[in-house]
Amino acid sequence: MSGWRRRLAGLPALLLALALWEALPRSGLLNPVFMPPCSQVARRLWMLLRSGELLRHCGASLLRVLLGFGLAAAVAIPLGVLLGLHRRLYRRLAPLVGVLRPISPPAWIPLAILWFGIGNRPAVFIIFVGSAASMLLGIVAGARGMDRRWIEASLTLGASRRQAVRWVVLPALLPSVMTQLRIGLGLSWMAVIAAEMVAVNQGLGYMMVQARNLFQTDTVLAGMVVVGALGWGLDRLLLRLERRLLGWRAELEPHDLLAA
Amino acid sequence: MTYLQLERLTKRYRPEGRPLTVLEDLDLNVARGELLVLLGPSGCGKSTLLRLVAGIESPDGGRILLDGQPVRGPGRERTLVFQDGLLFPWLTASENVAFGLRAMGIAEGERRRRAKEELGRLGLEGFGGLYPHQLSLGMRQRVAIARALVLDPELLLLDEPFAALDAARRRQLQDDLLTVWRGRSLTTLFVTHSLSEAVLLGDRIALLSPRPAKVLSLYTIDLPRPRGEHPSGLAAWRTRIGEELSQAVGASREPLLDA
Repeated sequence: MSGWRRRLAGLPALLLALALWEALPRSGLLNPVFMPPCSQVARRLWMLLRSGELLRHCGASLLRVLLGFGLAAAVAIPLGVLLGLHRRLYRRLAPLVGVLRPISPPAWIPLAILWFGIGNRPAVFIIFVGSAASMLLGIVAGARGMDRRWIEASLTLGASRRQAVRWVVLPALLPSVMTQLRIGLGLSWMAVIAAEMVAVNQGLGYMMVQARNLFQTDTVLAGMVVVGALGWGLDRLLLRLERRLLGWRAELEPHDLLAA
Repeated sequence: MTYLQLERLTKRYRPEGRPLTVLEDLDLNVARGELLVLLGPSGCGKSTLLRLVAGIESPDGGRILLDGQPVRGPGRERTLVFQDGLLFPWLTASENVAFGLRAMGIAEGERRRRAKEELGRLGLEGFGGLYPHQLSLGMRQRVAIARALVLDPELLLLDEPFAALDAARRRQLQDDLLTVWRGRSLTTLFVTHSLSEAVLLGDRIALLSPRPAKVLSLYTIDLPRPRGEHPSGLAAWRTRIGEELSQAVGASREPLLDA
């Protein structure tokens, strides 16, 4: 398939979903009060966009994600490398991180509000705890699973420990770091919407909760569409960065085993 | 003149608590400038021996002396070429070769020039800009050898460097290694489990027992080089060493060495 055909390969499924979304409420199979048709949501989306309201909410959500995710990455990457290459430290800290990780972001909301009140800070905190532990454990696993002989090779070639970390460990870990960043950004994006459903007065999560209270189902759905599209866009951004940074890797083509 | 001395060298591992003695009281002297082949069955501890000399592992007993000085940790006067080359996949061939020079703080232009020169000596002119996954197995192994030689080491440690290659390519690399080797004052420890490789390359051969490894016998191979021209002499050595090994360890169901 040529480039643009490959890129448009997912379009039919998307169009079909939109068509069903339009047809089912219109035919009465779904109650349009609870599931307004796609065209109505699109109109709502356009209104929200024109009024500037949508941009304001998006900006607020993105800013929180940027802060929370940035903090989480800034902690998880160095700490992950350290724990991955320091066995004693790992044995001491792994259980703690292991217990923290399964606590889902919404589970932190009560504590976050008690500690930070309302506004941006509890939301940033929730994003941080929602993504840091998972990224940390992923990077630790990457560092522990890395071929230790690369490090040994660098040492026999005269590298100092510091040089071995900078020139060998970091590039060797870059693929798993990039994967963890993508997972972490996805988690952050999920966490921010949950966090915004309480204790803030702007953001996409807030917009959706407000709309539900006013029974504006079309705005709720418009919010969901935007959350999905932005989350996908953020992931694509990281994917492009990954491709640029990992140009040295052999291109992997997945196996077509289950194709007819 | 003895350059490298191994005295009562002992190494044990403890996988899942059960101690496994890999080397026990191994003694060996290596003269300056010789190419000594460590020949032994797979899993006998040859690689461990190289790792100890390289300084990336430490012995549980005994000493390693280099010019009379005990070895502590890795050093660039001893470079190790791993079995599968172990190039850094995120660096080009040229950057791989320049790695050790970079660690020495040599400027980039000079690094590039010396890497290019070394790659040329190993027959890889023009391939410096390629990444490891773009090179064939044999080329990767050449880059790995260049990466070690560019540092001008006193002691070159080779851990079955040609084991993964097919026979033709293997022969080519063996010849090229000898050519490169002859141009330098280099002491070499070459690990292999192939009898024919051992008698083709070695000034001397240390025949090692199965684990825990000990030196069973030392042979000085007096065949003139290039040895490819003396097939009957090579065959005689192969037979002699093979027989001594089976005498020492008894008959075994599977061959301990490759032909």
